[in-house]
Amino acid sequence: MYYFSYAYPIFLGLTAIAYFITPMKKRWGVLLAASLSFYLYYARFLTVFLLFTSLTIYLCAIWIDKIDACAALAKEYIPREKRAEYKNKFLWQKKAVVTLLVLLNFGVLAVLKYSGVASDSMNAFLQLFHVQAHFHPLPMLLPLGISFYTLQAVSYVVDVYRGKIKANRNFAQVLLFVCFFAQIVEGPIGRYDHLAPQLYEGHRFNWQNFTYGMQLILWGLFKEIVIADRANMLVSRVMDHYTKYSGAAVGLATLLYTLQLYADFSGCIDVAAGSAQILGIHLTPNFQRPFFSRSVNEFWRRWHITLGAWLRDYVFYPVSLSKPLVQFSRFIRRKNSSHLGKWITAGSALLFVWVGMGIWHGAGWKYLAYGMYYYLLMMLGMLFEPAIAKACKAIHLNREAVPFHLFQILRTFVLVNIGMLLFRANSLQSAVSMFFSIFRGTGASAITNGSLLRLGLDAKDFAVLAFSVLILLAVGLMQEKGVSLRRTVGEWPLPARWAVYFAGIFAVIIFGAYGTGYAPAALIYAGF
Amino acid sequence: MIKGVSFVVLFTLILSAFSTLFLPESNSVFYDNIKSTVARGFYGEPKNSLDVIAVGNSNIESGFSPMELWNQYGITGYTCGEPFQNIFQANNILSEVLTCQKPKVVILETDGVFPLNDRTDTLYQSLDSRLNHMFPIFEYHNLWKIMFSGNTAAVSSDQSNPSRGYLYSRADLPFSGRRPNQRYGPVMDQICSSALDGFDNLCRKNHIQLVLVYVPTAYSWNQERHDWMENYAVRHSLPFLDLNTSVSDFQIDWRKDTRDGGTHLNLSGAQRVTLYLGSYLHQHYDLPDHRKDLAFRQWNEDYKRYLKMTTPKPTVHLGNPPGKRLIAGSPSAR
Repeated sequence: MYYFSYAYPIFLGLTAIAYFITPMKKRWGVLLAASLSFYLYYARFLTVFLLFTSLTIYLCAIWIDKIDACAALAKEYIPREKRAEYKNKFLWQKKAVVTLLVLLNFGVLAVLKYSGVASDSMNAFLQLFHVQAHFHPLPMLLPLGISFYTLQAVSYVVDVYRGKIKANRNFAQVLLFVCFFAQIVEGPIGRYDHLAPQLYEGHRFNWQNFTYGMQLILWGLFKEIVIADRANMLVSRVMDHYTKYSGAAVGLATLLYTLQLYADFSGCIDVAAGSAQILGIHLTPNFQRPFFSRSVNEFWRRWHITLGAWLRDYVFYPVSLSKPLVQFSRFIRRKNSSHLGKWITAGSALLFVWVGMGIWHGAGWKYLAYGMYYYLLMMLGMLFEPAIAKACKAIHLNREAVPFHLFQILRTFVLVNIGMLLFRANSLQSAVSMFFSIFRGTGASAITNGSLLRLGLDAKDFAVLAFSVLILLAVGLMQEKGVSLRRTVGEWPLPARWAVYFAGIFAVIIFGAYGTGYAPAALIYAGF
Repeated sequence: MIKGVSFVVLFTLILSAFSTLFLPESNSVFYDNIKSTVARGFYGEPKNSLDVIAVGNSNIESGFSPMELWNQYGITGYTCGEPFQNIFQANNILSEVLTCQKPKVVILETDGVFPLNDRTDTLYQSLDSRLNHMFPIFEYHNLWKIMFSGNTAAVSSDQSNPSRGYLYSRADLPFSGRRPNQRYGPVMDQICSSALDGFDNLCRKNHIQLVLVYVPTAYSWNQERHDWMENYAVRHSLPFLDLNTSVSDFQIDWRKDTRDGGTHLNLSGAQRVTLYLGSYLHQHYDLPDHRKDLAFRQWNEDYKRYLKMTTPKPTVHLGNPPGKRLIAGSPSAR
């Protein structure tokens, strides 16, 4: 269970001790040894894929650097009139290297992750024409964190290509950047310029980093063990046998799945970030209280931030600035310079982002539909925004008033829940079936007749979940107001501070959904 | 540094305090989230009244009925078997038994002694088991549900189990007759072997005769396991009764004696195993017959209840739906 096992605290403790007793300049070596051990333990022979990715990005980055060096030399020695020609030639070479790298790494990802769906789809397609051919899917091999480290690795080479960073000539250091144990399971997807220098330079032991890191780990444990694993009991019972349930049961399961996914994913990220902070490394934040979002756009700027930023920098911008799209935009603007024109051009680039977002999450049509769901919501929001603004003005509705904000938050929450239903369902068909089943069967009566208490959670479990949600809400509200809880608690007198720590630790031990009667759920995003 | 050490010390003290608070005083809570209350029914027995204790996984839970032993030989016994009980948990439960009982003989069902997966998993099991034993709050943390409901009586009152830990089933699903050609991980590893040594030592230290038994099971038994355990028994001068091999005057009938196609025994299988083991215990150990002892009259009462429970009623159909198991002694069973 990666970060949620007995072995992890021992592993982290030993790593930290080894890290801080090693000479400063060699501390990154301890991180590499620890990260490789962690990865080898879980991925075993599938580690070859990680090595393959690391090796390809290492070589391609150096290759690009060499092309850049040649270009710089050429600039000095080639006559001015021929410079443009050579510049284009070098640019073409660099593009070829990046394309090769992207094809190699996304090719491996595609083969490992999507061959099953591809072969199923191909078989279904051939059946339409009564063709008796049958494609067999490849054996299911999914190296740990492949979807995360592939994006991170590709971003390194693209950044070298863009001249943002220089290629690293030390393969071991590149390997560490790809496999750092604190983020290999579920991210956050790091960028070389932010993460790599922190990994390579040694950090002194810092008591504040240690306590802040431990606080974050405790917070992550609370989210995972008290909330996510508890919510999972009802969610898996209802959603894995969705045909047996309808009405309030499915509605409640959808709500709880949203809670579970948030607590699971952000809890794992908290443990990862806390572990890194103990070693003096600050990971990029991946969540920023997403359920306070007033629109779906904002939600995706606050939820899985590093994936959104990756898609923005490495899909949206390149697509927007690509020649065909620039020409298309010019054409549209010539024809229609109004809001509709901008909407069409923005929508064209965003389509790639959301297709990418959907299929990154998994192999299956439901994931594509998941991406398209948010794409449609965003496009509709953008399309009708001027009309809505006009209508609000006409009826003198203050869009900055608190009640309107609350309405927007609630609306976004409902829309996100529908997206989560799509995300959790076993297939697209079952998602549609579950969605409509919410409006059938027992409604409010399920709350009063106690049938909701027969879905895997008893009244006390619900009470723990409700209280935990209140804690999440209170912490979120304070953070929204700019209060740093970790700093605030850190400044309290020792007895008060320790009382809070002990309360947190024993809340997890006593109210955690583990041991007899509970089945811990697998980390959801680790499956991607 | 001082602060760090103080924090750890204080944490350990609070953990120990909570562990005491959360440790159930008895097995009396028939509650979903508390591990195998039936297996811990020995808490509800009069102190030092049990002469034979059977420990192990679901094989012994389904395969050894102390009330049959009582009826035949007047020997008082208890089955502390629970699903997936490993050798580390067996050590823990025996330690628990020794807090209130002084058994003369302990039967260890050997199926749970062998590692199921790789070494790391075994190490986890060992660590988990030690942690649960040192700090029972990890095992019993869910008792907060009862504490918060104010139902403290449920925690504190003792309650014996009329079938003495035996999991009764009349279900009848014959074994197909072919043992699957599968291995359950490595035959043995150092961690499990050391834990078995620990179990043996615990018995010796408390002057308990240890008997190693492999209850008939069609799936997890294999020749390698048999050979390893036989070798171990010889080295440690322990009796080893492997009822999966041809033992004289013992024969299992796989058409009638299993409730789930060969994995576990049903009542008929348990009766065969218990009678065989009873005869062995009677012949080899000095175990008193308590049937006429007034101090043990409750056992005679319980035997009547047990008989009522295990005898099919001719007029009213009380059979469980297929697949549903009835735990003897649980409220639903009475």
